[in-house]
This record gives sequence, C-alpha cells and structure tokens, in this order.
Amino acid sequence: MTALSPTLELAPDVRFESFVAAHQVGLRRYALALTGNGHDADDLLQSTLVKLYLAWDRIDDRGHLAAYARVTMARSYVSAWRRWGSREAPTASPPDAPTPGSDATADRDLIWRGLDRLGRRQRAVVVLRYFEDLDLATIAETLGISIGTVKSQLSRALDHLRDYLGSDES
Amino acid sequence: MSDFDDLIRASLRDHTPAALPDEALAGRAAATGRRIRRARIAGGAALAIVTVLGVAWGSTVLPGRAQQNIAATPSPVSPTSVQPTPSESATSGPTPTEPTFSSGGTVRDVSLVGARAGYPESEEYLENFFASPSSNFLCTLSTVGARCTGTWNKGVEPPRTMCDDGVVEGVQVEGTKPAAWFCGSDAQSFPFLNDEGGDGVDWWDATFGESIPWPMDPSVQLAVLPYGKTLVAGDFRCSMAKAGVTCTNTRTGAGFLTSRAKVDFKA
Repeated sequence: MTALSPTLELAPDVRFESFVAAHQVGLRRYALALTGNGHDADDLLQSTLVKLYLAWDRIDDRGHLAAYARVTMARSYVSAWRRWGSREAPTASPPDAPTPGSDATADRDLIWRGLDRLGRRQRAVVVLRYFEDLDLATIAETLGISIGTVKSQLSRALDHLRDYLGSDES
Repeated sequence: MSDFDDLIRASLRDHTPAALPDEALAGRAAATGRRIRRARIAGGAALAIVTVLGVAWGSTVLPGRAQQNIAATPSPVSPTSVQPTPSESATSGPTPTEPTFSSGGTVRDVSLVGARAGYPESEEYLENFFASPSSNFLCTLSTVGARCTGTWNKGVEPPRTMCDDGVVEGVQVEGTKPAAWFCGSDAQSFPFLNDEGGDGVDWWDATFGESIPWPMDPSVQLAVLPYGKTLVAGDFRCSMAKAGVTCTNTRTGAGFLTSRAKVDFKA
C-alpha cells in the first residue's frame, strides 16, 4: 500500500526510534500533502507518531508499522474536525494566480492552491490516489468509507481542481 | 491515465519536498506517549481507589447481607449529573481534564473533557464524539455546538443544490444560531475507541457507554451513547433514544431530532 518507502525493511524487533528515523521523511511529505502547510504537517506527523508509540506493543507484525502509521495519519487528518486549519471560505482566486496553461510550473502551483479549496475528505482522497498511488478499494479501506463515496469525492475534487485550473479537460 | 492526472501527481510531488530529518522527533513523540500512558494509569488508579472507597463506604453505611431487602441509601454522588473534576487550574484555553466520572448514571457532563478542536488556538474548544447504537449517526458535542452526520431515508435530506460543493453533510446546532442542515465535504468525526490517543472519547467507559464494531472496519470499535443516556457540554446536550438523536441548546431552545426517517428542527 505504501508509495513512500516501499523498500524499507525493518527488523522484527525494530525500536520506535529506528522506525521514526527510517520513515519520518516520507511520513512528513505525506503529512504535507494532506495538510498543505508545514506547520500543520508537523503537528499531524507528531500526533500520528504518538498514536503509533501508544500502539507499538500491540502491533505484532512489524511489517505493518508503516501501513499503520499511514492509515492513522489519513484518518487523523480527515476525522480531526477543523483541527488542521480551516479550509472554509477560500478566496475566489489567489491574487497572484498565474494564467492557466501558461507553463507547467504555473499549472502545478495552481493545482496545489486548488487543493486548499477542497474539504479534508476530498483532499485526502486525492492525496491517497495521486500521491500514494492507491486504488479506490484501498482508499476506501484506509479512510473507512465506501468505494462509492471515494468515487464521488474524487470526482467532485477533480471537478473543483479543473474549475480552478480553468481547464476544459474531461 | 490523463495529462490532468499527471499534473496532479507532479503538483503533489513538487510541493512536498523532503525535509531534513528531525533527530529529536522520536524522542518528543515518545515523551508525549509516555505522558499519556502515565495519565491513563493515574486515571485508572484513581478509578480503582474510588471504587475501593465506594465499596468500603458501602460496606459500612449500606445494609449488610442480613438486610439485603432494605433499600440502600442513595449514592452520595448524583447519578444523573456527574462533572469531572479539573486536574489543574484553568488556563486561557480549554484544558482537557483527566476524566473522573462516577460509574453508571444516565447523564455525563463532558464540558471539561474531549479532544482539542478549533482553529486558531484562541478559538480552541473541547470536542466529544459518539455514535448512535445503530452506528448510523456519528455526532460531536462541545460547548460551542453539536453536529450529527449519517444517512437518511430518501427524501429526508434537502436538495444538494443548497450546498456549493453539492454535499449535505448533516445537521447541527451551533452557538446561538437556529439548528439547520450544514454543508461540507469533510468527513464526520469518528468516535473510535481504539484510536490510540483517545481523541474525543474520554466520556466513554463500560459503565456508561456501549461499543459496537464499525461497519466499515470491524476491527475498530465505536464509542456508542446508549439509549436513555445524555451527554452535556455547557449549554448543549445530546440525548439518545430509539426515536433518534436529540441535540439542544438549552439556553436558546434550538435543536434537532434526527432519525433515518426524519429530521425535526426546533427554532
């Protein structure tokens, strides 16, 4: 399920500190993709690691630690109502928005800003689909929602992003 | 795979640069985890002491075995409204206390427990999550309001056109506003009992709440507010009944009753 550190193998008796050292860079990127800013990403990463620490002795299969951390992070992000900043009432258009389609970098920046206009569930679905490269069934399992909800949330999110980008792609 | 998909991938990749490893991160997380464990142990010990003292008190004050048919003296603690004792002095923001609820009862005041929510920090409050016994409704209660999300029979929800993003999320009563449907694409709160860290389910214990497997993931237990039980947070209270979940602002009288079949708003 992971796209962050798929090659990292940890010994069965891996210590918490070793796990954090091996995975923190990837998990922090994941947190940044979810939250959209460094401050909230650091908070989300820290709270995820605390939960992992508390569950450490109950996770028998050390090979599942990374998956546990990612699922915990995604669910924490989605379920922590309003905790990771407000995404309500976004501005209609960023004042310094570049002209859509002017160059690839500008389009990527616009997409990143457009992600801030999405609700947390929609953003999480986009991140799990395009950052983690998960299939719809795994996204549903990760977030604890139905595949139908994943499809509808993803569809709406992409519509929002297309609108924001000013793209007429379908 | 479309160019648009690739564009999203590239955007996420470009905007999530790898940060330098934080050598102290594991230590900070472990220290916080240890604090939570100590607090839980202290809470468990306090509960055990209260239980032992209660048993001792009962054995000396209440009728003994020879008098079992005589009604016992009422508990010195009101069984209908139990408020946790703050473990530390008040600060500028909401500070969750260690829950010290008496066992049983039908009402719990959760004003001083719960997960920190709200943003920015100056607007933080404490939030408590619970599920209905059917697991159809997932609700949150705090001193700023109450919300429930769930699924309703066809025709109960208003048209999606009422919401800009086409998602009718649930019903709410917040602040002094009338109860109403609310929009959003954010997920509802999840009252997970085994969500380590205990976010928002401190109100729950086996003498007051119930638990059921979450249908989406049976390995996760939901913290259920049973029928006949009530949670209170400041002016807001939510009660569970077979007729549905009722959440009310007791100061304004505004509130809602929601079941699968209907939603009644009280202005």
